[in-house]
Amino acid sequence: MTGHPGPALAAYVTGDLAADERARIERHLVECAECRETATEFRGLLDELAATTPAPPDVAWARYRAELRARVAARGRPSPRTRWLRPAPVAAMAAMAAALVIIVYAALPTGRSSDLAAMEYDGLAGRLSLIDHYQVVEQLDLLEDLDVIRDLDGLVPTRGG
Amino acid sequence: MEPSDEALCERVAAGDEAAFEHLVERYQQRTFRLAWSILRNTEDARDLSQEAFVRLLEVAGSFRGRARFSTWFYRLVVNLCFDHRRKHRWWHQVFGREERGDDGDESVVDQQAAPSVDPADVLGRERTLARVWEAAGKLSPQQRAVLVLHVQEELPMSEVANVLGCAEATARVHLHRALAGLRGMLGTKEKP
Repeated sequence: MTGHPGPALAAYVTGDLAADERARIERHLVECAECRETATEFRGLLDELAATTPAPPDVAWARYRAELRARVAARGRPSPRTRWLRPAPVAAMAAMAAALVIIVYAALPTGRSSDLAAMEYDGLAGRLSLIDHYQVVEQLDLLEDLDVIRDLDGLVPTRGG
Repeated sequence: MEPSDEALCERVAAGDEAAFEHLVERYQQRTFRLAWSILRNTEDARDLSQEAFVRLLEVAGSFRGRARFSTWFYRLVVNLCFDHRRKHRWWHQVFGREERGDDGDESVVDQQAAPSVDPADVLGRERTLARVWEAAGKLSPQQRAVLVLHVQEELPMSEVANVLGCAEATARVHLHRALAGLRGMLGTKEKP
């Protein structure tokens, strides 16, 4: 007898298995009365759940939307184009820019050629574009999506402001 | 032709308020129902579902079209519900804040084995069937969410996994444990 299917049994019952895995479980069910009984009961439970899905309480949708509009207004709808003007990003950008300027100034030895200084300045100025992603990083607690961090460098500058 | 959800989301990201209103109308009932099914509390479901729409306004620009809008938005709703449950766990444990049905005073775990379903006994049948969802309320939030998304929202398991942000194999484990748990609570065997 093949091994018990484990969690795949539930997926078998819901029809979410590939053909080969489904065939393997069907062979097992022919031989295993215990799993057959479990599959039957799982199917019965799913049927009962589907037949008795509880209806949520009635909602006055006009009022719901009015509350939502008030909520949006209270929060201040951040337009994608003006989102950068919010105080927190502006303050953060100003602080980061100031820090970078200080670092550049401190790192530059006196008497350096103006060309070299200009090159370093250009390099640092290029990194300032990272600040453009502040908005995305700020929302990570909501997104819970590590892909965002992985793809941060690949974000196009125009997206989401 | 009606604009797609994805097109509306793109317009929301560009600041189109009419598109936002359109998406709200399209999704308000589903969103409330999903939040209520996970939280089982009307006020919390109202609050969290509205919050989901507010967040939609804020993060619409991060929708990249890799998944369907509904999957992406359900994920936002489910994450808000899970966060809410985590933050208010002590409150639920101490005060049992979930709303209950008519059978609410009975602990599902303490109930006797499910009575046999007699077609002649309509009341008894309704009581038995209602207990299935009552028992589902005792499952973990993830297990309950899998049942809600699969049974109520009729999503295939691959979509359920996308909404939960986990592998399909993990979603299957949640489903298996949910069904095994229900089986145990309703008085039948809990194996394998």
